Amino acid sequence: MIGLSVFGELMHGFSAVLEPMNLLWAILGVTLGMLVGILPGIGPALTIALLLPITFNFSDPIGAFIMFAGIYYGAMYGGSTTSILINTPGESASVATAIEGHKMALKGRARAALATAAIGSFVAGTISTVLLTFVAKPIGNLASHFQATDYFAITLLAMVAVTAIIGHSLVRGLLSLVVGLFIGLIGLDSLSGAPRYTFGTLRLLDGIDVVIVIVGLFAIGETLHVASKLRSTPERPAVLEKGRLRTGYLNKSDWGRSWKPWLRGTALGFPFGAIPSGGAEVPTFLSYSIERRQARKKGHDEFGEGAIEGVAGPEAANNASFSGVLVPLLTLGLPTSATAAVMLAAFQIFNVQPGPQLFEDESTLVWTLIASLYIGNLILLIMNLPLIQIWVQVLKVPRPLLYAGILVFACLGVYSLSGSGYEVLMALVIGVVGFFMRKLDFPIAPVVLGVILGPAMEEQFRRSLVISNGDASVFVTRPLSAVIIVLTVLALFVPYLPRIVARLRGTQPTHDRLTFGEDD
Amino acid sequence: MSRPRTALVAAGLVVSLLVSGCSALEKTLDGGSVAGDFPSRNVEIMVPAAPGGGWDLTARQFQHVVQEKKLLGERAVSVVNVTGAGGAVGISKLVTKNRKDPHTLMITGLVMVGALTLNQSEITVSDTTPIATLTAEQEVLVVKSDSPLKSLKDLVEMYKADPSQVSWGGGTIGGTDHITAGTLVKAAGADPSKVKYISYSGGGEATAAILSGDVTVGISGLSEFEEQITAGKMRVLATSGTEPVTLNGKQLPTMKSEGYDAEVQNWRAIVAPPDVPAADRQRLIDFVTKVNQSPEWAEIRKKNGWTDFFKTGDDATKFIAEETTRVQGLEKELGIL
Amino acid sequence: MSTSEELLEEAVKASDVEVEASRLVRIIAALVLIVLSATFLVGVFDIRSPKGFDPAGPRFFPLLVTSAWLVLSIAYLIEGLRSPRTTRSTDRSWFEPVALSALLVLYALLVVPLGYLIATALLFFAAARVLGSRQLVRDIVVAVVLTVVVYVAFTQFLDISLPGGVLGL
Repeated sequence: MIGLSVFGELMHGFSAVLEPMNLLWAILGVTLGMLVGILPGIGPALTIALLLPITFNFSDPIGAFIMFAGIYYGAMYGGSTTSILINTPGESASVATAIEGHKMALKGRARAALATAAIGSFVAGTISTVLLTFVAKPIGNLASHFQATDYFAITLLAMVAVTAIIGHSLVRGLLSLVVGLFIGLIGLDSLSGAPRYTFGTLRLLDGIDVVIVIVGLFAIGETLHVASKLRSTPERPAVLEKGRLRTGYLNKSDWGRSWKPWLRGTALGFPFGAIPSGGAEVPTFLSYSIERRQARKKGHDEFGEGAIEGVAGPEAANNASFSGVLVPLLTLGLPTSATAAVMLAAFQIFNVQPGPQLFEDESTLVWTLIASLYIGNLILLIMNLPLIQIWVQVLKVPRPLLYAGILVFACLGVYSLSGSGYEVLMALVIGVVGFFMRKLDFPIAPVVLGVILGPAMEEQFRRSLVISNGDASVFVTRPLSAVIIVLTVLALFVPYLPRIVARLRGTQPTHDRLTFGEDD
Repeated sequence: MSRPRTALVAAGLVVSLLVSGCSALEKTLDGGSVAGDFPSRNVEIMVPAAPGGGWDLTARQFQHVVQEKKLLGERAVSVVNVTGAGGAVGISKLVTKNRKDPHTLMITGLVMVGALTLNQSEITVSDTTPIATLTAEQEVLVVKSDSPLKSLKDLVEMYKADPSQVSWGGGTIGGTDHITAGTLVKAAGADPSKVKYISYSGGGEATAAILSGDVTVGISGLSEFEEQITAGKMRVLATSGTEPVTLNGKQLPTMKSEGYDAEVQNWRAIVAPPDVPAADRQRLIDFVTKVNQSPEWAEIRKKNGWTDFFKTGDDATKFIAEETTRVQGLEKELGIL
Repeated sequence: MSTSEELLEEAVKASDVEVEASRLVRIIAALVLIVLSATFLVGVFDIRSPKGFDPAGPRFFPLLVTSAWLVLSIAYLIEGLRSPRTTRSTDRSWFEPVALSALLVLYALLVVPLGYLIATALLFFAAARVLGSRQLVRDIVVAVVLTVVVYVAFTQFLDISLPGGVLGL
């Protein structure tokens, strides 16, 4: 019964969104989103905030929201392009994609990588929109039951589960992670207001923006690294593998290896988007490590040399997270990401109050918005498959021009964060760190993970203790937290289980470990 | 090979530039501007925070009205965001770089007073030339609808019985929400240093914490909780202003009407750099008054749920100085300084 | 993939790492990390820690992170000391990265006074030259066109203000 009425409302929404004007807003939003996703530093939150005043003059807010939604998921997709082609993710949600995606591009498989990202985004976007359509309310209510202890348990689980990105050496991988955690400490401590490692400067009180860390480590660090090898590695244009649009540039084995990661990525992205402080980063890293373990189990592990699963999964996850973010935003008025917070402000400006009453009070707007997600995802796919042919031309840009251009956009991205040269200097310092990390073979992604997860973990841990007046048992007495903590412990020890069992039996283990990242 | 030598020269250049003094660095990094009669060139409104927040909204809507009504003739108004440390970066730029220049204005408010005090900043809002306070937003204290606390008195009694049983959830440490909690506790005659305040980034996170039962009581701007209140998921204990607010046809209690002599308004103001000539200051006051009196601005206030909080010139200066003293005292009593 | 191929690849990878970082560089890096982490570990006790209701307090996590950092840095040093001595000299050049870094410092200092257009066009041009481009006309044309397009798109369309500088835009 309910399903039927939802269906009717949705059809009503479709008829509204297919009006030429609204279609135009969707196309404009998606295109703009893709562009800002490609540019480092300029994310969807900033874009929407800046476009807000322009939309004041719209007579009908629906157009504005269709455009904003388009910007959001367009950006989620756009980030993959630069990650894959030139190893410079523009957003934290595409860092995981860069790990395997760029390796694929180096092997001449850029088109397949871009295609699996585009199709995966479409699949994930569509499935998660269906989920949004039918189960928004129950999921929204569930999300509002999460307490600080549960969040802490989740960050702990995420931290342990993503050890797969640590790479060849445990020591170097953990050092990268710890440096990221340290960067996350810089600034005012949010719970006590005490400045930490700010060295008496005003500029560091707000901490170091994760965008500066990403632009520094990836864009600037990579450019310096390439520059240092300039004379020893002669320029050679990337040889592209043959690919045909008819099969979406993917061959049979690519399809076979992509579809499961797409689905698993969706299954991770949607719920993480829906829980407060979940966001898009954690599910992308989780998806990466799950795909890696799956590949290892099956024995055709190409990870580290450009595995398509490592692109398909994270890209599906970050797109699915968007519909997830919409769940608490629409049903509870709860923004779970920075972009959602700006969208909430936009709703309020148009006198639309997201929350439990929204589906009744503004049903046309909500259903048109949801219908626009289906259409927008389709537009994204239709636009991007042919565009792949154009994007890969980036690989043919002469190296000096390409990297000079990367520097220009990196500077633009960090400059626009606060309108001063300080950010450029800060990104340079981090870029130099990134350069030495590359020289010394340290993995880069764990730094970003540390910067993102560290502060969340500390905040939730301390909040839990404050609320319980210092009683540490709260982490195990609350059922939800306890379950997640047990999962964490399992994730930590299961990989070693065969070895432990073997040792207990007094025999030699056949494999060192089940699935853990390689170690030396 | 000359390249390594060139590199050395370049490195030397960089080092010498860096050691040539922090003040010079500061100057070149941020630029500066010149003074002149108002308005002899385009006006810039600095928002000392990122796009999207309350100050940014105020500035951009202000800009909208000025341009709609052509209040500066052919001169344009632009909005510039200077983020950092709760506004500390923005105000230090205004005070040090734009001295005497009436063409650079800045949005400020109670939040900045709290942040500057907490950061033990040497610059205060009183170092600027206040032009006018513009708007104020009501704070509201809420509990989850199934909470046993029915009134503000229940909350205060609970706190007096055992302060560790009450966790207060709101925005930044030392910000408006924290100040509201301290003001209430102090007015009730209890010890503010025992306020177990948990800060959340933004109203969304705080809303989640209230609905999940993490915190006993939530404090934020009324607009943040409005929908949850309307939907019956949260119950209002009190609002923080002098005038009672009516929501959904029901008049909400204020802290005063509940018997506590406490009042907090999340005010926002527009200020000019220090030492602006008296004539320019008067012209700026006239200009802002024109904006404030326009029907467009009234509409914007209504849309955003802001109350008119217009005080100009010396009144504004005096008000800001009083607030600064009050906040300083309160932050000490809350034990965060 | 056959085992011999695997072995070959392993060997190639290993030699690559050797070229990337000689033993000496690794030891120096480890020492730098030890000094940094030790300094920050000591710095934990400079963090203002208001006595209050927060059982963990603002020093707890920094203490955890910096101690872990120090321990790992020592482990890294040991790893470096144990690694085989290599005689291979690195054929990496230092000129380009240093020059690019210097360019970025200059850019940070000059972007506001000179204005976005001039500073950025100069940055692009100089960076392209450092990176080995030798086609003067092409570099200049691309630098100017790219900068102007970015400037117009951002200031006109996105309403992000970029410094006008000496051109007085």
